[in-house]
This record gives sequence, C-alpha cells and structure tokens, in this order.
Amino acid sequence: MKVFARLKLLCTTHRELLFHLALKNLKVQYKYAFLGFLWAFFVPLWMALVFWFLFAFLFQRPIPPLSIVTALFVWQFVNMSIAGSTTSLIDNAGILKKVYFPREIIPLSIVLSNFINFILSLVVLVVLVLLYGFAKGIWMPLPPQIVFLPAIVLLTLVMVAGFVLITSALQVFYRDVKYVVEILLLVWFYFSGVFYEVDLVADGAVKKGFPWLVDLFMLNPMYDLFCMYRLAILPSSIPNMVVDITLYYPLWLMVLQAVLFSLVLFFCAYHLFMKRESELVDLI
Amino acid sequence: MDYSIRVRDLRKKYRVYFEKPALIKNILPFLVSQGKAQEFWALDGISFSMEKGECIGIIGPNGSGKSTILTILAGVSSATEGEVFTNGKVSSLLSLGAGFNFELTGQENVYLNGAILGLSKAQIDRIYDDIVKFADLGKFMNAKLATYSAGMNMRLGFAIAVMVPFDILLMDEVMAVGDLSFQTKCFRTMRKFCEDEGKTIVFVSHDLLKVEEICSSAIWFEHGRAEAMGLPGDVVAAYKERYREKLALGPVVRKEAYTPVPALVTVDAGRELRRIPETIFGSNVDMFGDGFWLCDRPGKRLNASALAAIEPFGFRLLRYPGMQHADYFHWREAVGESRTPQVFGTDLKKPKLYPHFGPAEFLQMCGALGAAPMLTLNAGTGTPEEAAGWVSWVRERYRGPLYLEIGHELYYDKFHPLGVDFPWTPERYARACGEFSRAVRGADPSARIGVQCCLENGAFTRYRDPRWNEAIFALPPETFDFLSIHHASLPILNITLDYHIPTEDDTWAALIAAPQFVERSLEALAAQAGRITGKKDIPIALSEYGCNFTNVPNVVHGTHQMHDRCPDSVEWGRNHTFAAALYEAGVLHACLRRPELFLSARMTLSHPLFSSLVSPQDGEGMPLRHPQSLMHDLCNRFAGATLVHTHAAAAECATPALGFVPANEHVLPCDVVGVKDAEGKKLALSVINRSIHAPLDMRLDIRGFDARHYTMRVVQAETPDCSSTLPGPHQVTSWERSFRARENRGGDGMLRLGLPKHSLSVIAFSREDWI
Repeated sequence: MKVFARLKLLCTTHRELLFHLALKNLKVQYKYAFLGFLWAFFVPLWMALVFWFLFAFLFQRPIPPLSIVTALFVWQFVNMSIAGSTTSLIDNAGILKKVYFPREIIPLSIVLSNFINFILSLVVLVVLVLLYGFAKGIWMPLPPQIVFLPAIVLLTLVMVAGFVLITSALQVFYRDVKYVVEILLLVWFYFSGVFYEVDLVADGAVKKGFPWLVDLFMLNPMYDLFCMYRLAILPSSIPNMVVDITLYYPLWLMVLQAVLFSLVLFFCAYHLFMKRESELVDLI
Repeated sequence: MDYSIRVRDLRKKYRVYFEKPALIKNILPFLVSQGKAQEFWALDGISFSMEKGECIGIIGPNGSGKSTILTILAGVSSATEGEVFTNGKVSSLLSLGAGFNFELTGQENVYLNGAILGLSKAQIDRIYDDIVKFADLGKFMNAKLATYSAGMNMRLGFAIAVMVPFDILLMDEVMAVGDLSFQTKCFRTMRKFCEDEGKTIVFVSHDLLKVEEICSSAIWFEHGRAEAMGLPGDVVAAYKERYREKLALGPVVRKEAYTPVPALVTVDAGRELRRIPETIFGSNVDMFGDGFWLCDRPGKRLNASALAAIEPFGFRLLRYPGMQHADYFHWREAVGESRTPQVFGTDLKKPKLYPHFGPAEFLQMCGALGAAPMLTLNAGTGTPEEAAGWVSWVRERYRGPLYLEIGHELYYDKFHPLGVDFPWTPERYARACGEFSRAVRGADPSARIGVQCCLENGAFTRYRDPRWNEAIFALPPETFDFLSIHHASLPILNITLDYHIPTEDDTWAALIAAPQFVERSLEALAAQAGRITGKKDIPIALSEYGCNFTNVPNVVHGTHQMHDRCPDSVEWGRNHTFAAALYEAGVLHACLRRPELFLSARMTLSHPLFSSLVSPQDGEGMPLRHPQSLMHDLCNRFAGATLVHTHAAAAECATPALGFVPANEHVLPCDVVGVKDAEGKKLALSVINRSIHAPLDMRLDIRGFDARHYTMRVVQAETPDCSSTLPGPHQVTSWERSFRARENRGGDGMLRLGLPKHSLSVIAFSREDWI
C-alpha cells in the first residue's frame, strides 16, 4: 500500500522533477554528439546488421532482419536503462546530498529518458517495416494486434523499472554490483533468443537429452517480451521468428507469465528500495 | 512559542569502514576476513530549539558534527536516534556546486535546481529574474556551468537557495569563495530574512566575527555534543579561549614573538590637501613578449577574459611603449596598417621578435579599460617628423586626453642598441627634445607634453649629472607641460653594484627603504626645477617604477632565496610577491603626498602578472587573493578622492647599508595616507607596516569625520611566512565589521587596531549604517 502512495506522489508532486531530470539526461547525452539523438537507433541497427551478416554468410542460416531489429531495439532500452542507472545514485551524490526528494527518482529518470528514446525508435521501426514492404513492392499492412503495443511497452517499462530499483540500490551497498550486472546483462542477451528461434534450443536440448531445458528457456521473461513485440509489430506476411512458438507454449501463458513477473518484481523492488532508502545517502 | 526547529536528543551513527563494503566479503565471510565496521557517533545527544526569526550560528572544529546536523535538518540524512522537527519549507546551501550539472548552462541549472527543490516550472519562471539579478551573472546565464569560477558557482547556488520560497535556510560555509562585495550582500540578505521576514537561518561558519555580528544565538559543537550554547558573543569568546593558540596564530606557527610597535596615527578629515588625479594610478604596458594572453594572434581583437582580469586593477593611465620597448623601439615602423612589428631585444644581430601587441592593440586596450594613454617618444631614434606622424596616426584612432613623454634613457655612455651615435651631450639632448616637442605640438596641439629628466640620486653616474636637467629647464617654457622621471635606475634595482645576490634580509630592507628614495628624488627634482625656472609647481610624471624589472627580478623581488623554502611562491614570484605589492604601495603613497605629481605608471601590467592570472594557484576568485589586490583596493578607493591630512608617529627602524642605500637609513614603520569622498560619507586609509618582524599597535585618531556608526572594512595582507606550508594567495584576508563610534575606544577615545608584521591594509570607514 505504501508503494501505491509513493507512486501517487511520484506522479503528482514529483512528476515535474522526474521529467526534468529525464530531459536533462537526454540533453547532456546528446548535446555535444554530432548525430545527437540518431545514435539511439544507430547502435541497434548496426548490431542487427552484424548479426544478419554473420548468420547469412558465415553460418549459412539466414535470419529475418526485421525480427532481429525489433528485438535489438527492445534490448537497447533494457540494457541502457539497467546499465545506465546502476551507478546513478552514486553519480548523483551531489543532488542527493543537497535536498530530500524520493531517491528513486534518480534511477527512474534514467529509465524515463531511455524510454523516450525507445518510443522514438519504435516509430523508426514501424517506418522500417513499411519501407521493407515498399522495397519488396508489396503492400504489407501492420498486423491488427498492434493495438496491444502500448500495453506491451508499458509492461516493458514496469519490468525495467523493477530491475533498476534493485540494481541501483544494491550498488550503493555493494560497489561490485555494477560488474555483476554487466556480466548478467551479457548472459541474458545471449539467452533471450534475439537471433535464434526456440526450435533451435529445442533441437539442441533434445539431442543432448535435456528436454527440460526448453521449459527453462521459455521461463525467460525477456524472450516473452521479444515475442510479443515481434507479433505486435511485424506483418504476418514477412518471415518472423515466432511462428512456431505456440507449439511449445500457449500464447496466453506466455503473456501471463511476463505480466506476473513484471508486477511482482516491480512491487517487491519498490518495497525494498523504500525500506533501505534512509541509509542510502549515508553510504554514498 | 512559535518553534521553527526543534531537535531533541539527536544522535547520528555512522559506520566507518576501512574500505567500502564489497559484495564478496558479505557473501563469503569465511573466505575473506571482514574488516569490522567501526561505529562513530557524529552527533551524540544534541538538543536545541529555535524560534522563527532566529539566526543560529554553529561553530566548532572540523569533524565536530556541524555539517552532519545540517544534512539531518535538510532531511537528506536521517537521525539514528532522537527527534528532529522542522516547521516549514527548508532551503539549503550545503556544499558548493551540489545539484549542479556542469554540462548544462546556468539557466538550465536554475530550472533543474528549482525542480529538485520541488518547484514547478511556472514557479521558477517567476523567480528566475530575481535569481539572475541577485547572482549578478547576467550574460553568463547561457554559458555552460563548467566555464564558471567557484565564486560564480557559489553566487548562483546562493541566489537559488535564497530566492526559492522558504521558512528555514541552512547554510554551510560556502561563502568564503565569494568576493567581498557579494559576501556582504549575502550577509545583508540573511539579516533581512531573519529580522524583517521572520525566517530562520542555521549558519555553519568558521568566521567567528560574522557569527558574532549576524547571529542571534550560537552553538559550539565539539565531538558531536554541544559544548556551549547561548549568545554569540559568549559562545565565541569561550571558543576562542579554548582554541586561543591555534586561532591566534592560524596554521602558521611562528615561535619568535615580537613586541608590537606602538604607532599613533592622526587623520584630520577636515584638512583637505588636494584632489587625487586619477592618472596617478597608471601602469606601464610592457614586456608582453609575443602578446602573451592579451593578444596572442596578430590583427585579432584583445582577449576579453584578459581584459576582464585586468579591469579590477583600476589602471587610469597606460604608458606605452615602455622600458625595452621604448629604448629599442622604432615606433615609426608601427605606423600604418601593414606595420612592421617592434624590434625587441638588445642585440640587433639576433632574430627579431615580433610581438602581436602593437600601438593599435594598445589604443584598443586603453579604450576598453577607460584609461588615458601616455605615449613615449624616444628622442634617440627617428626624427621629429616621424614622431609627429605617429602622433597624428594615434590621433586618428583616439580622441581622449593624450599624454606624450619625450626623452631618452641617458645613462648609455658607450653605445646605443639602435645604433644611434653615443654618448650625447646635455645640449644635444635638450635640442632634440625641443625639436620633437615642436613637431608633435604641430601634429596635436591638445596633447600634454612631458620631457624626461634625470635623477639626482640615480644609480647611473651619467644620470646624476645636474647639467642634463639644467639644459632641459633652459628650453622655452612652451616646450613642455610637465617633467618626467624614470625610476628604472632606482638604487633598489641595483642593490649592489656588481649585481651580487643579496641576502633575504637585505632585500627586504632595500624594498623598505625604496619608496623613501622615490619621494626624495621627486622632491629634489621639484626643488631644482623651481630654482632654475622660477616657476613653482611644475607638474611631474613618474614612470617605470615597480618591481618587475630587467635582469635581476629574483634579487629585486626577494623571491630567489624564498623559492627553495617556499615552493608555493614560485608562481607568485616577480612582481606578484607581497613584498612587491608593498613596495609599489609605498611609492604610491609617496606619489600621493607630492603635490606636483599627477601621472605615474608602475611596472605592473606585464607578462609575469598575466602568467599568474592565467595559472592561478588558488583556483578561482584569483584576482582578489592576489597580493596585488590590495593595490586594486587602494587605486579604486583613492582615485579621484580628496587627500586629507594624515600624520603617523612611531619609533623609526633602521635599514642596513645596501648598494646606494646608506647604512641605517631610517624609515618609519608606519606609513599612512588617507582620502575622503566628496560628500564626506566615506573615509579610506591605506596603512603600511614596513617592519619585517614586528606587528603594529596602532592608535587611530580620526578627526573631522563624525558619525554615530562606522562600518569598517579592512583588506589586509601580510608577507607569507615561508617556513610554513601556507601558500601565497592566502596572504590576503579581508574582514568587515561595524561598530558604534564610542565602541572600541580606550580612555583616550581612539580606535585601536593591530596590524600584522610587514603588511598592507586598506581600511575603509563608512558612515552608512547597514547593520
């Protein structure tokens, strides 16, 4: 209940500060970069190009490029937010020691600034999808399930906020958290099916005699998110990496799993953050 | 009772780790032996309460918990035990630059800070103009904060803290970096908040005087406990008593104690002597090498930040070209758009140096600083026609008052670097001066023309010959409007004839005696001119005096030996040591006292000054802490004011024999000049204590300046003690206090003031009653 009260405070009294800090982050980030905001989607696009090249030419296993781009845009948001806000409380010691305000505003403002980038890159993604069809000379309507996109985006935001509240607070207590987070993010990226399909995992698992590995893989909420984004944005007429997913898992279960995970994570994280909040400043 | 802050049994525990806690140690305690966290009570049972409208000062040594209580009152940190209750909105200025982002502009930072303090954009819009006005940062608001100095940073921080609506203001000691006028403004504002608006201020400071003056009560913190609480006077007195030794001597521990020299100073504001010509506060523009910092590229505008750094020096006259530039300068080559730059250096075979700072840049500089130009026309080079040509070239570009100085360094007895046949005779010199004067008067009838004379007590034999001056005085009276002398050849610069390096004490002694020599040569010249021409009060200009000179700077400035023991002062060498400032001030005192003197140009504005401005040791706020800052204060307060009669009486001190300085030259340790403004509301004294060792116990008798209240502001500096680690910039201290006319006076009704050893103090009295 305390968490709800605090959330309400965040959305009313401190809303302006939250947005101000988020915009400040963006300004500082892009003010002196020549290409400015464009970097937000250049990086994932280049990564997508590299993966596509690797798989198409080296491994002779072409993968649909737009599927990778979709996942990479989402990953960019998750990765930048978590990596960026882990040390945020320590970096902003100056502000924190000056005046009291809910401390979670600092990490959440970083999530918010990345979120703004993310929204813009989703627009870019939709444009890319349309251009893709245009280049092929066919009209590919966006799938009707795109109406769920706002809900999916919100779900992603909640999940990321949950992670960030934990890592940023932990970093204050234990300064090695930053490195652990870096490693875990790397591992997470490779185990979330950005550039392979679930049947590849299934093949391997069955061959080696560990069929339960598939179930374990399916527990990964990030994979769920990637699938949701792919289903919601990419037209059904182009190759997509989620066509066979329902063979392994019913779609509703997947969504339920992601939603439950995000909400539980967020509220637990927020609760813990508030509990230790008073100690934070003394340790910075 | 209307409480604004109530603190009861407050305790705050910190865990002090020997290192930051690491994850692995907590997870695997059996693998790594864990450094046990030590508990430390930063606050150990503090209780106090404040009413609205109170200003409480917290004093105490470092680490006594002063800042901790502020963070707890600000809600930033939480109390471990006890109760803290604050009634109203809290605004704070806990540390410098806290909450600022250095990549953003000043304006963006105001909005960011406002948002952090819980203000909406509309609310910040309303106070934005007030903040800018208070911080006085006008055009800098759109500059990145990274370009701000510590002082500007503090000004912005303070302005935001006091302009946001608040009931309780928490201030940690951050004002020390602000300049004096801003500090005064801050204190005045703080006082207004408490007394007029009923706001509460908690003020942590080491400035005991300020705590006594501003606060309504004080707490002395010691090891997290309140050692004493009550009226600021009592608490400060008790604190001073405990720390008497440390406070009295500061970080410098000097064992020998000299008994203060008693001095009686009488100031009679009713006896006005003369209005001080602003042109007395002039400088040579010299020795810029390749245009160092002021104008590094040819044909470009002058560096605005360099001009801004020079501006507070208060120069009202700039002389150019001077010194080597005057002696080895073909000014005729500097005329015209495609001018050939100056020849610089004594050896014509060596490659020429082409400084970017030439006549055009000089005129630009005069305009920017609002100073009158004084051009030197070397009669030893070029022809009168060329001189006239240069003057008209200058006149095309500059309309204001112009001073011309015709002459030549006459001490060359074998050769002259520019190849002009030498030596000259007095007759030839006077003839050349006459021709030059006629020619330049033709070119510009409005310019005031001076002719360079010689010194009776100069260092060079040829220079001492009275026939030079006699030949000049024999010229037709319309030839010159004033006489000019150079003190480049002052004995002080040639402490010994063979340029051997004197001891440090010798150097000090020579610097002490030097102003007296300047005064004596001015007197001698005036007397000689009066005797021969029969005219009294022929105006005199003094130039090329000061410490920054030629090949013996280290000797002259006494820095040579000091460098070994006082590495901090290396950058502060040359004319930036305090000894140099004191010497220049001494000569200025002499200039002010001589009624015939109306122009003077000291050798201050040159390369070494700029190098110290460019690479300040003390970070920001440099010019104020520069030893020369005392000179600023002297110039800015004395220019255009009315000199009043002063008299100092003290036991004389003797100097040892040095070069041309006779043994046991007696000088007064206390040298005072005083001025007052036209309305008689302000009175300023410049007091030098020449004694190297002994402080001055001054009794001040002010007459003809009556008021019930005085506000006294003292900017004071003393020679650093180089056996300590105290760096140069800390020589300058300033304080301000106000008192009733009857206060601070003994039975004799005189004001008592202690001045440190070898120090310069500028004391300003004001009748304005601001506190």
